[in-house]
Amino acid sequence: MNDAIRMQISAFVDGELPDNEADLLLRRMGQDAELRLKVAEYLAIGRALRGEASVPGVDRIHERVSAEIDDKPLEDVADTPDKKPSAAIRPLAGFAIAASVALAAIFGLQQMTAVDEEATGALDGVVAEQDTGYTVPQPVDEQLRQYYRMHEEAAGEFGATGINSRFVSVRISEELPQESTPEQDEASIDATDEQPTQP
Amino acid sequence: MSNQSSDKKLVKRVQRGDKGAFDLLVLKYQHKIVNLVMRYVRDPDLALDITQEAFIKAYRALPRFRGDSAFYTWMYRIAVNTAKNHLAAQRRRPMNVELDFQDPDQYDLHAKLKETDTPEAITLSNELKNTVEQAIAALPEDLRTAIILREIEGMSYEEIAQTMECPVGTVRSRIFRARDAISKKIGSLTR
Repeated sequence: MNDAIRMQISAFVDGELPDNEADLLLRRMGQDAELRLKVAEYLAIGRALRGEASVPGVDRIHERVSAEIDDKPLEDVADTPDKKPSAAIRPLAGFAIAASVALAAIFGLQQMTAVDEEATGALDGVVAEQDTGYTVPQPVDEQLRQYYRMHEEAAGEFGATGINSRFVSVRISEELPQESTPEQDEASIDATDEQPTQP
Repeated sequence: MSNQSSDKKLVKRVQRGDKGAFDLLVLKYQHKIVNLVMRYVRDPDLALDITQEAFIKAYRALPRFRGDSAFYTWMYRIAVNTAKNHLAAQRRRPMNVELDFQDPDQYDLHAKLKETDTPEAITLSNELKNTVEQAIAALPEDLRTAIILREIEGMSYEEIAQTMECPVGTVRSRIFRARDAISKKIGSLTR
């Protein structure tokens, strides 16, 4: 600990350290117990000069508190029973949804060109996953439209309005016969709209 | 940066998970809080336990602390409530029911501490006081004046600079050098 840092600590104790120096010092003191003890020492000098009485053992309170809070995380006040996924998870959730739906859609498209019954069964399986009962096999176009709608709903729920989700929406909608409204097309293609929040 | 301003920064750091910042807050206020709790309980060991409990409660509640009041004001209320809760649980009455809780500075802590001091505590306290006084007496006059104006008169650096007719930077340097010299003399007495 050099003179410059001790002088900063001395000014900090007096509430006279400029903001720009204080920010860096606070960051250092958060990680260095020796610096914090120097604060305690300078405070003790002041109390001794003023002749202030002291309860024996009080200087160890901070150690006792530290030992106890080390086992206890701070309460997360954002926790509510019906909380939405955190901002950090939304982009990942959106990407996972987009990727899985894209894979299912692309697989379905490939199989559609080969007119393969097995692929139709796989698509039915994906559609049936979303339904609770038996689903009558539908034309592939209709299935893709359902994927598109499910993707849009899921992306909206998780706040996944980013480029990945939009890309999937565009790709699926491009493969479908024209059905969507002009407003929907404009909204899905416009990449300058809000991006997923980054942590 | 004022004291309140530095406390605000420390609170924000704690809320972001910096436990070292909370340690610093405890170091700053542990003496004041213990002295406050001593107005409710006689036993110094019990006062330490209640103070520890109050700080733990504050740590857990910090995520909800909005900063509408100063940290110390908030901490003060937590400590008082913790002490009162303890007394209620123990079915004891406060030491002096005539005490004006609205103005705790009126209460003479020294008088009460004399009833509970142990010989070891008195020895240590006197030793520290004597060592500091000797260290102060050995300082050059400019350093001694600066540290006394700061610690005893409570003047700001700007006020000291005007009094001593020197720049604020010089005041900062003199106060630091005074503390450094005293610190070398007292060694492990403050730890």
